Amino acid sequence: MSGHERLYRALLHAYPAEYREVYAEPMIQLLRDRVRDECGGVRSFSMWGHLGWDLVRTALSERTETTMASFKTGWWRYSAGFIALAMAFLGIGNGTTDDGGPLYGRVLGAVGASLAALVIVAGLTVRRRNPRRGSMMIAFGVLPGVGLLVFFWFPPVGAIGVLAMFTAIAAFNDASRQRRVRSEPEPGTG
Amino acid sequence: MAKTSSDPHDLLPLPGAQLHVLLALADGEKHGYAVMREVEQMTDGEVTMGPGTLYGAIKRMLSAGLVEETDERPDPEMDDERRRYYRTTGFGARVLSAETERLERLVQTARAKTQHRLDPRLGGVT
Repeated sequence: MSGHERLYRALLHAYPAEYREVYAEPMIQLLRDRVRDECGGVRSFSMWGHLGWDLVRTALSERTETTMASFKTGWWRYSAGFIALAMAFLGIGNGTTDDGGPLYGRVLGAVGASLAALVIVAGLTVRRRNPRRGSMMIAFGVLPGVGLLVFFWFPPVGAIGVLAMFTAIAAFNDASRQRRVRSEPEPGTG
Repeated sequence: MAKTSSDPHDLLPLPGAQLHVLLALADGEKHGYAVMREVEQMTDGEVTMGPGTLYGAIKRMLSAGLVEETDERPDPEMDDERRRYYRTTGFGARVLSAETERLERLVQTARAKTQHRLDPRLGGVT
């Protein structure tokens, strides 16, 4: 393997994994061909200048496309992550601020919100191995966040409540879909 | 992956990279480097497609059903088995033809407008 190829192979990590899986080898083959025909002295610099610009431009475009596609189908997972952060922040913030209310209420609120946030984070992790269980955990973790709807008079917090409601619906819906997928027999086996 | 449209006009105007790849493949199947070279020749060296541009275009064209991968080798003895060859599909040929017609109409309009502007007898600039 030449130095050119080693360097290009390393740079290809700028592309999303799914893209690399299919196109990394043909792209490296194309580089080999170009090195064979174009390399030597100043021409190497010119070739690498062209390759570098091509890589930056197209890797960015592929990354954006992959992220957008993943966001389209899994927006609620991003939203659940945001709600977990918001609940932990609001819960702990409220727990440590003396607003004249009873201490046990503030502590209970902080612990509850932190636990719900932890359930969401655990659900997001578990979902990679067990999608149905992960989605159920996310849905139940997000549910307390719907309670933030009572703060409708304070729009940023009330909006998180609305988001939590839609996220919980999407997570329950995904868990139910995963259940159907698992219970459907494999073609030819039923 | 299956194509998502059956009307060639739905894909027009074609992005530049896809048009160049379709033109390069119009006279037979080629591998990536051959496509790159053909595009360079067609454009008198003005367009050199990098690997990312080329395979990004091919990825989208495969998904739109404009090109397909082929196992046939023009000269198997002279070639590396690992190379991937691509050829235009029937749908790809129809899209290329529709895009060519669109460009022809555009060039005619552009010629008419610039001639009118340059010809003093027609009230254009001198």
